[in-house]
Amino acid sequence: MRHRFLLQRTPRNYSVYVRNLADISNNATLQHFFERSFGAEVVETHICFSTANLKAAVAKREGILAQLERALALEEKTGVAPKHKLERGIVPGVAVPGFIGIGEEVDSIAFYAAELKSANADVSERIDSLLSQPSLMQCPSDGTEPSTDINSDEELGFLSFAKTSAMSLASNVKQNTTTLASGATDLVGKAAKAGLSLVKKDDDGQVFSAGFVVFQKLSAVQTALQLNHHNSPFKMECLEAPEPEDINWSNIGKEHKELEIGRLISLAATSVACLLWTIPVTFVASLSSVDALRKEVGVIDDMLNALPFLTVFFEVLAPQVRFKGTLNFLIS
Amino acid sequence: MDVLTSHLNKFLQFLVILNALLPVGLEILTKLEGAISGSLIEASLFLKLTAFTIIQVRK
Repeated sequence: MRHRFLLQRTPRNYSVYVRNLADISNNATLQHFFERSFGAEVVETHICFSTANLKAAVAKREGILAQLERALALEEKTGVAPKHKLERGIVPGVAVPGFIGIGEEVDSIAFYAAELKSANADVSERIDSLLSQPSLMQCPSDGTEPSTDINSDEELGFLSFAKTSAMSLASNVKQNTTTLASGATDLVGKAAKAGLSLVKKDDDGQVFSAGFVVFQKLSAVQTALQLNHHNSPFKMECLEAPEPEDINWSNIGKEHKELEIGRLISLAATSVACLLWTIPVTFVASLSSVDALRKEVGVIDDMLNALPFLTVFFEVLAPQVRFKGTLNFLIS
Repeated sequence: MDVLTSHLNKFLQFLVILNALLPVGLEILTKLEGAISGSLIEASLFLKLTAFTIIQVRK
């Protein structure tokens, strides 16, 4: 069953997640690092980077789109173009949240269409800006580039190559903005939607110490998962990649030390919570026995001392005390 | 019986709220472990909840 699952042509089966990157901060270097071991079987690499500002821009665009769709639906239903009042702040030209509906009245469809156009341009510009960073450029996989050792002097030569490639690709980005932006929207938009919250607002494009490597063959993926890729412990650690929609982006790029501390805190906090949890649960459970009831409730103890034949009755009744209490709580 | 259950009432409220908050709290702790897959986080959370339940029942 597992073999059948692993044979499926899904992104997770052909990719690995690499964390604790050893001084690698761009896609090209990451790709060439793996090409040393796997040659042409490496299809592409994706180094992870922050997109907090882009995420905010995408969210704003989605809000505008929803408003526009609502306005269009209203017009279709009523036959009248909807209008709304603009926000007007205390300072002219500066909108203040909460001061809604006190400005001039505008046509909603035209207004939101213009806003959407502006938001689209903003998102495209941000994507272009991110993709034009040399560190985030994809390395051309034509196999003509020499194999590069990241610890050797050749790295400098390679970095200059990467920079040149980045510059040429940047010019291509300008020429084919629409095509590239639409292709990039999928990748970066998914990342943005998934919720990167690790970085500050002004940290867009900050490269994390983690990435995804896509291979051509399943055997290469399994080999990558089992190899030690670096002579330093915990560096270039390969793990199974999850499905793109299943990625927990908040944990992407965490270093080994941070992960170990997190695991320790999680284990300690869970153990402490489990111990503390037993106090209230044990108290309630104790009320299920007659002896415990006699200890806890003085009236019952006196009653059973005076009328011992009621003990049998309370043995039947005791477990129901908990049930009745729960029932009372649920009813109230 | 009513007197007893009325005393239990507030306590049970507290217990029910604690039980409702348990998965939320444990999920936060689980995310600290650094798993990048949502499935792994859910698996770890399930393991913790199971351990909690077994330990409480045994006691």
